[in-house]
Amino acid sequence: MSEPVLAGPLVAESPPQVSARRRAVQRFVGNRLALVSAIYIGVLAVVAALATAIAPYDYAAQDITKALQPPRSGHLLGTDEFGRDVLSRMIAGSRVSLTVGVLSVLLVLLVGVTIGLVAGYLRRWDGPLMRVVDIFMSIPDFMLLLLLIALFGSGSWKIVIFIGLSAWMSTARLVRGQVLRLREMEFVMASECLGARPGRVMRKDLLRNVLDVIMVQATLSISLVILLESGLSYLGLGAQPPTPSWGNMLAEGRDFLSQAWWIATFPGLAIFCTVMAFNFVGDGIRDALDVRM
Amino acid sequence: MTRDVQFTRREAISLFSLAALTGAAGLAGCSSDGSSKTATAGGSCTDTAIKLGTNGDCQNINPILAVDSDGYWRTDLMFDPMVLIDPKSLAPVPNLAKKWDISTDGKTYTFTLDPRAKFQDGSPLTSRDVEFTIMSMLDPGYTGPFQTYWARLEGADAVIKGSAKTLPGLQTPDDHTIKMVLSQPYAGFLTVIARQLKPLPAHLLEGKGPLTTSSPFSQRPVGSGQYQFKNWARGNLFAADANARYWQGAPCMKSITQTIIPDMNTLNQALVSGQLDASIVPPPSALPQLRQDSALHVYEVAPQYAEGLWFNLQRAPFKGNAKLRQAIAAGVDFVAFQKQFMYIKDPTPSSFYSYASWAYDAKAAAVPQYDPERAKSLLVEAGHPGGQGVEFEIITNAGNAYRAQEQTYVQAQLQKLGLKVSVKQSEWGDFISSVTKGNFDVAAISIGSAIPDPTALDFAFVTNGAINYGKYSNPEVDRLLAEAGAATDQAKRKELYSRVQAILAQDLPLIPSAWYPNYLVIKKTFGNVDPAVIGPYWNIGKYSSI
Amino acid sequence: MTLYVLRRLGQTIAMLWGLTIIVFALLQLAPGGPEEYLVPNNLTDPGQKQRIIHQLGLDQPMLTQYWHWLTEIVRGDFGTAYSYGQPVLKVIASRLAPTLELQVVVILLSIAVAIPIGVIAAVRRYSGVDHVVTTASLFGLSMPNFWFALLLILLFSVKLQWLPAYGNGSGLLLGSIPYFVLPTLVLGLALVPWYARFMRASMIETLQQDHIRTARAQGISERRIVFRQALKPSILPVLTIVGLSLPLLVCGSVIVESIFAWPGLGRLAYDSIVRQDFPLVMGLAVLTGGFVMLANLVVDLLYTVIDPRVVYG
Repeated sequence: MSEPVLAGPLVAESPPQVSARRRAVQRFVGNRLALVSAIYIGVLAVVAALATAIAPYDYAAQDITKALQPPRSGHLLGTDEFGRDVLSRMIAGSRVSLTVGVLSVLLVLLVGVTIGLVAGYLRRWDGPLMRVVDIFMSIPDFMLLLLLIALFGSGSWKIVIFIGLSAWMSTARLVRGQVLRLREMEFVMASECLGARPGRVMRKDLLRNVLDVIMVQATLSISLVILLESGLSYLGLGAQPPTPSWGNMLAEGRDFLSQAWWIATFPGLAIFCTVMAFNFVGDGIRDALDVRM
Repeated sequence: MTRDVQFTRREAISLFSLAALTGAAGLAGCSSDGSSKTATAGGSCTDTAIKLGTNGDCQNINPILAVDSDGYWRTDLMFDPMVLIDPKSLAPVPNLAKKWDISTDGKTYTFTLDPRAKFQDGSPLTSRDVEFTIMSMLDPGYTGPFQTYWARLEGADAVIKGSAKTLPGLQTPDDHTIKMVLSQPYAGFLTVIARQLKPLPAHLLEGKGPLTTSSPFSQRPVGSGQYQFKNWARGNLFAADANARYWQGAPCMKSITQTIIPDMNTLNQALVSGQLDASIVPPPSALPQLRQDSALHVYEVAPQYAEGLWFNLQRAPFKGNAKLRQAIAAGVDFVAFQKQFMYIKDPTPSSFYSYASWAYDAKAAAVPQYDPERAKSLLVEAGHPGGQGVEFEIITNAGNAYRAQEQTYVQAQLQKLGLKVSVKQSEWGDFISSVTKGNFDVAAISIGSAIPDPTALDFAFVTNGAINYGKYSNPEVDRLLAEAGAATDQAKRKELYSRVQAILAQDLPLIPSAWYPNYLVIKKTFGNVDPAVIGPYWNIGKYSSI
Repeated sequence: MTLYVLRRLGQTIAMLWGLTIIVFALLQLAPGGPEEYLVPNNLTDPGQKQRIIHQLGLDQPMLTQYWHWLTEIVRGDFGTAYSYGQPVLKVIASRLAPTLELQVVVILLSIAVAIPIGVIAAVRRYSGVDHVVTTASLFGLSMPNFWFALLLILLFSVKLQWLPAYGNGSGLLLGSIPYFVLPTLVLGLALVPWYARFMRASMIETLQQDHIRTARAQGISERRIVFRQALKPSILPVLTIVGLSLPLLVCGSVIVESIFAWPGLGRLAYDSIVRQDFPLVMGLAVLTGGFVMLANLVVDLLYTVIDPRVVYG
């Protein structure tokens, strides 16, 4: 799919997790690709958090006399058309890309998991909620997002909210599917027999047991959101200048591909590697926990 | 490259005969006798075809509704303007109107139409068609932009209101004569208004109600011009074929196709790979590479519009503070910007009227040039030493790489002076809405060039003018512009425009930041290519293949 | 059963109606309006904008506009697209064929490539082949599609001059094949891994089921097992794939269509939204949304036919 909006694979069985977290962690660590990716993401998160403290230059400082210089000492990744240091902009951009990625997914999870839990557990809400999900899912992938941006403008924070509003559906479906199976299980019934109210059942019993699925879905979603944000920036609808994001650096740099390949290539590589890292981590978690989604 | 400042003329009218000779020679297409054609300047006209590329489609190809540049040149191809403009002298030159007389009071224009003119379906073009076209534009239900032009005719107001059906200012004594009477003399009548008049076939449209974008005729126009409409897939493709029976001789270029390619990078690559033949919108950053391409020729032509930074004069900090505006003009190095980002080798300093216009006055139009020291002292004079207390936002539309770069650049330069500048890009509709409603601090949007006539720019500077976005108001300027518009002596008009430019350079309702040249990138396999300031494709009918 | 179908159909219509309300409400919240796009910024005639607004009926109250539009839709008249000056149906129809052509080619080729890959990876789970497949899949899913498109154009159109950089040729004709190659590669790059992973996961699950284990225990060759016992029930996931891909048929990709100047529905949707062309946006939402909903309904019904274990309450 061109711009897949968090479509997850089919829902299947998943036994309740009681213990064996340890084994799961061991399995994850044994998966070298996933381990390396997790370390990469950790380093990236630190870089993004420190951003301005470790960047060699101010990402907005212009110096036309130094424009379009290839990578060399002093400017490890070269300079762009304004003479700004590409490395510093990449570091600042990591902050935007990661923040948008993580926050959007948190919002998606908030909305999607809640709706999924309610729909799966409370029969009376299932029908109407799923119909709402169907309505939103029938709108072509990008269209709702574009509609929101065209109407309310763009910018990093707005993008987070818009993505959250347009991408929660498959998470909801996924969670609902899990809950449908879980609710027939003994520990849930036991809880109900003890008189637990629906809210409590959802919170305590169900949520804990869909966490695995949620974790996998979340990491995979972050990678998709990063791709989505870069696609929006390519269309000019992402983070607004002069704030750099990898996506808009790529968009600005594509005009200079022949004379100054570094302006677009490094952000492109960064997007590629980061998205892949999240994908490997997500897969790793899934294998480690033996989650069958 | 036609960058020379135009030589002055005494009277536009007296030039008419000279221009008629040069113009007629320049405009005649290849002779059309049905035999195999060879253009005089070299190259063959057999099976010639050209594939153009652009990145946005126009709204309309109906000449009374067309408002954007693609709409203009496409309708120029399919219809016959009453007069044309000579690319060198910028004087009006006969086309459909083979001669004209102007009364001494400058109010009555009598045109004689060329009897050879006929529509593409064979019917002759008469004064009836011209009358029909003008009346369509005065119809109360008309939605196009030219009503103010024809409102200048005597008695037009009544027609526009719907209280009259006939127009005393428009008379058709016979089939090939048409007389237009203005209520006030207007110097730009020939070069602005008559130039845009492209007669519609009355016999196909009479009684069918007002023309709109959705009328069938607007989707498949029929004109009298050198090209016949072939196909228009909105947003995708436009195609026209040569009119073999064109009354002035069939054009050399037999087939024109224009494809819309939304992505600038793809457009550029298609030029380089040869899939496209020509384009007038190359991305500036690609110019160095395109200039070095041995298969392509890059022409640079004097610009038709300038980019401008418009101040909202109803808002602080700009209200009543000309010194602040001058400080900002002096604080940004636009010349360096043009060199660096627009790849213009020799940028001309900013001016309000295009340097290619006869009204341009290099001395008077001395917009403050880059001088950081002067900028600092101007800030002090403006009451904001060190930039204190100055905070504003520059808005522009998303998707325009040039404007995006300009915003970022200006922001950085002004920040060095201590001013706090933020930038914002919005979708086109949102942006235009903000601009027209006065909901902005500084807006980066273009301004016209004064080609072919400076009166076109009046609306930007007169009080409550339609494109006076910043609500600039100076009664002296209003007075001077009204006088210059009514005068007929070009020397007198030039003197008046010089005074206007001097005032504007002080008041600075906007900073004209860069005159963006028109580029034409075209394969070297085409001959007779001669882009001019009146439009890069103005003589596309004469292109041959070599 | 018929009752179920009727009920679902009724729900679909209700959902469609809900969709129109949501989209219309959103459009109303936009600052400015479509007239901003139909009127140029260097306009010298201030009255023109008013005339256009009146001509489009935009000076009427919101609910009236919606009601007019709704009643006309029910009669099959989708109105005229402001920015095109043509009937909405005609505009959408002109973009439908190129979109379908490209998407059908992409989906079919992707399925053809992905299924064998997925099956092999499943059968040889945890082997070297499986690792390569899994890693390569993630590569494909991680690549920003516009970046990939740029690189492809640079290589194949500019440097090698083998393929055109833009356009869709004359549609689905032999001579137009070169135009399909690059867009298909770009779209396929994201689709093939997704299908392959899905197929692999389904195959793995099938292979672990009891009747497979029994067959193995009985000594039947692995090959026969794969082909006879496992492949048939795996038709179900393939059907799922096809079902989930149906929305793509009318989706179109804004980015790919922009880059390759492919006259498709994705770009149409984007343009119409940006220009706030109400009739066109609403028409697209209804038609594509309706198609997707119907497609889902059909797939759901097919499920009940193919796999009687699936029961809908």
